[in-house]
Amino acid sequence: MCLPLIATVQSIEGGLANVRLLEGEEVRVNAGLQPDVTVGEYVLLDRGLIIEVIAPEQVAQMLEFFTELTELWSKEDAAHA
Amino acid sequence: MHELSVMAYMLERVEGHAERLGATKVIAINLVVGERSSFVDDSLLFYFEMLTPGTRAEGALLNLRRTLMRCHCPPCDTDFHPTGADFRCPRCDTVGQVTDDGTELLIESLEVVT
Amino acid sequence: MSGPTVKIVNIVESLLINNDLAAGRNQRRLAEAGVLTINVMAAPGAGKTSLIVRTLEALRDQARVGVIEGDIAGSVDTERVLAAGARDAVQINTGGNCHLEANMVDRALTELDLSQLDLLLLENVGNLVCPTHWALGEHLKLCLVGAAEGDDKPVKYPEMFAVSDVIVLNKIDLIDHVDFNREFFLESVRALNPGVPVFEVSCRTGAGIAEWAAWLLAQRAALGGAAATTEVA
Repeated sequence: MCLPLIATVQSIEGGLANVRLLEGEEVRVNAGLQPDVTVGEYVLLDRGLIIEVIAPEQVAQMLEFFTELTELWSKEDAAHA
Repeated sequence: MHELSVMAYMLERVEGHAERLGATKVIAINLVVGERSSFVDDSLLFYFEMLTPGTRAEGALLNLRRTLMRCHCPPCDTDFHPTGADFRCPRCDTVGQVTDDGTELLIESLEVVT
Repeated sequence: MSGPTVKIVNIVESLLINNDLAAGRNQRRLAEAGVLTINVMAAPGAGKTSLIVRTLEALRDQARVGVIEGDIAGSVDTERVLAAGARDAVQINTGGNCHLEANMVDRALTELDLSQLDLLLLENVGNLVCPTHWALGEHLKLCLVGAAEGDDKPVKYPEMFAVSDVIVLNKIDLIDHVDFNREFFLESVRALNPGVPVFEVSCRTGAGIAEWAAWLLAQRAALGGAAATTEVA
């Protein structure tokens, strides 16, 4: 199951942005869907694209949701095992 | 599987349809999401809530019609939902035939105010 | 002026329509150029790299094969693929994505001279779920699975086996040493995709590769029409 990634924008060049994932890794992604994104903002990444800019206070909410999902899946996998 | 992208993209298509229909508001979006699309309902709803503020679909109802995977057993001439361990008929243990059910992934209809 | 009215409008549109349309364009372009295109999908570790290299070696003098590599994590790199006999190879940087998409393939196609190719292998990212939903414009979907990964892959990943046009079971040289019930595997494949060809190979020993390569050439000829396999210079 694929989940979005959360990152902060480090720099922007043309349609691409260098972002740092919460996990620390720096990756280059496509910013085409959010042309007005600015350095420092939190973004949601999916399929190598910036899909949405989110407010800092939403980050905790997102992480909580992802944890719930992964727990749901591990229960499902356990049920099938 | 990539519910965020697909939800963002779905709303973009809905915006286009609403524009074309001259709609001022979208009241309901009816999706058909098959079990085999591996899309998680909770994720679809979560991202829908997150992405709709400020759009015509803000406050709209997202209805998800779920279609299930189905297997047909020729000898029994009945259908069953596979157990997840194999594709054998629960009654006669013959290997069933998986149908196309559960592969749907579409916007079925919109309810709008014009 | 009548007040606001509520309308229910039928749309019936795929949620992945944009990618589907782009894939359709790719497919037409490749068919017109007579280039049979195979989307190579597999779980990580199933042997995608070695199957591509073995296929290239087997077809070296019989067809001009191009490769588009999408699995940056995979060990296939341009030099190795060209050395194995590929006529041309392009690397796609998927930007960390877990599957290839039609627009990525569209961009990569601009770097290939399709008139010089008979076959094109699209090496997708190692993942048995996402690639099933994102068409690329391929003529054939190939699902590669390794015997060492277990015989329950068709039950666990039904969509991949259901949509594939051909299935390759690799590492059959290990089959007696791992817990792999061949009958159960084939029974599940038949339930999902009756009649789909299944090639049992070992990329390590080369077993089954010749039959697989011959089948591929036959599919190419079937597509051929416009540009049958020319004499390889």
